[in-house]
Amino acid sequence: MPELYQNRIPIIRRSLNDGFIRGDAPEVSFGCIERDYDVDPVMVGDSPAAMQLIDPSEYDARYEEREEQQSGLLHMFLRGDRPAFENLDQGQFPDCWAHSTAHCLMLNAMIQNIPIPRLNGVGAATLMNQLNGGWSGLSMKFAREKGYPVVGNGPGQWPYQSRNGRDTPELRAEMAKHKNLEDWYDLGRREWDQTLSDRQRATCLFNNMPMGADYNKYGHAMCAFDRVRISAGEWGDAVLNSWKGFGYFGVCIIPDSTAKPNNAVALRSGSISV
Amino acid sequence: MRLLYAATAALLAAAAFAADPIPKSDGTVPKKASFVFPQVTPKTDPPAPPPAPGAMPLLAADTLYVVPSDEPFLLFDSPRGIVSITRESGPVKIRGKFLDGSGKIETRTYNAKHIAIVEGVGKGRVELISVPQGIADEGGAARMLVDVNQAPQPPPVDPVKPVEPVVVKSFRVLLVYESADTMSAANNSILYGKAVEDFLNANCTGGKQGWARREKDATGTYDSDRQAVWDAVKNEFAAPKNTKTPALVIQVNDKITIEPFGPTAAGTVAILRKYLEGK
Repeated sequence: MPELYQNRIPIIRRSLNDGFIRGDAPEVSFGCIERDYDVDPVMVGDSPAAMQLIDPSEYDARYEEREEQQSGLLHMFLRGDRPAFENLDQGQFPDCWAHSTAHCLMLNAMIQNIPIPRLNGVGAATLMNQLNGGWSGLSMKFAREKGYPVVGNGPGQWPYQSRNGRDTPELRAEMAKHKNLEDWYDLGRREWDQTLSDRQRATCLFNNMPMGADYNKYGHAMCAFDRVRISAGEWGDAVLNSWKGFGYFGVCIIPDSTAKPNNAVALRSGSISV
Repeated sequence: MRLLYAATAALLAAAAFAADPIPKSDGTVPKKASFVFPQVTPKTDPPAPPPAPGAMPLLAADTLYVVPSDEPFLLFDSPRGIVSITRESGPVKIRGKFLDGSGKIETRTYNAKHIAIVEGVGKGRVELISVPQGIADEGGAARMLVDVNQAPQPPPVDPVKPVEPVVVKSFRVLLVYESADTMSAANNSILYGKAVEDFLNANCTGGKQGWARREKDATGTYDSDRQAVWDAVKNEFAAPKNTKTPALVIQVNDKITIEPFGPTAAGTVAILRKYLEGK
């Protein structure tokens, strides 16, 4: 019997296969490769060094307040026990690192309470010509500079789970509605130690900032979007994966004791137009 | 019994106009009226002439005119409403300023069995008419004119117009915040929590389409209705105004107001409800 958080969300203890709670794990794709700091030493956006960090002594109170007020991103995503949107599925494409950013942008639209665009991670990776893996920071930089394509077969859209879209002026114009992302926190700078990154990551999640998170342990990137207390003293992240049929509407809990992201870039605010 | 009394200072000697009683047909003689209004100056006989116009005793708001009598009597005021008259039974000790006194607060003991205490409650000239019990005719009544100063009145104020509740035809809300801020747990609860969200979904024009969370520096456009609200206020949040965040932007009909968050989610809902109800 899988271990469940709040009787519904699988907790990852051994491998990501723990997240397939409705049957056997299908064959899935990954695609996250280790960030090359020489290629990507500095990310876009603000430095989290100026962030007012939440002291760990406050974590319990913050968590309890969020549970009482239902004010975390996990609560918002699963209001009424239905997801705000269906999680994306990367299919057989090694584009997890592009889907993590897509999920961040979609969660930001959810936060804003505007129509949630269905963004195309495979299309983004294809447009970047990054076809054999990447890391979340690359896709986030692309999102800021170019925007993100929307799933669909109409003009200005990119077909789902396909490399065969058309890069047209209409596509670029539509992408521009989902770009102009001003605010990111790069939590994975080489010069920072893990402890600082842990506190920055916790602060971002308590501030309802979703992040593209790269797990070298799994070779996989996902969207971490909430901080949860599994049990007294045991903390983990709520993570939205880009695999169909995974988790609870795509969500699993990764305890800190199981794995922590090696790189994470947190979205402070997106600028999505409708 | 009120203990704040004013000194009475009768400038006009009140005289009882009591004619000799006319014997009745059966030979009995009605009681002679013996009522005399208290006077400031020493009693003069015969009764003092009527006062000169304007030279009436002035009963100020902080002054009492105490009218004692050993015999029961009725005391009328005309017109009504300029003075109030209360009755006491002596002996009684009264402290205050007296119309027939020194102008200072003093304590007096009135031993008469029947006491009327006159206080000014309005403004104008009043005639006090004393009718001793048992007199035979009008001639037994004693009369006295007193000018009553207006009791301290608050300055006139414009009549308060009842606040007509606004008929709310449209209600839209933006929750504006700064994403770089590490907000308090309370503000996080207001911005993201279910209580405020449920209220907005239930009450905004268009339901979910009637409100949004807005990072103050983010670009991006909404549907036209919400965009119009943001366009009207976005400069308030930009430099140099830098209106403090987090904040509520509340549109009711054609009026848009910026309010800070309440102290709690419930307090914020109360603020929103006030606007929703047109108050």
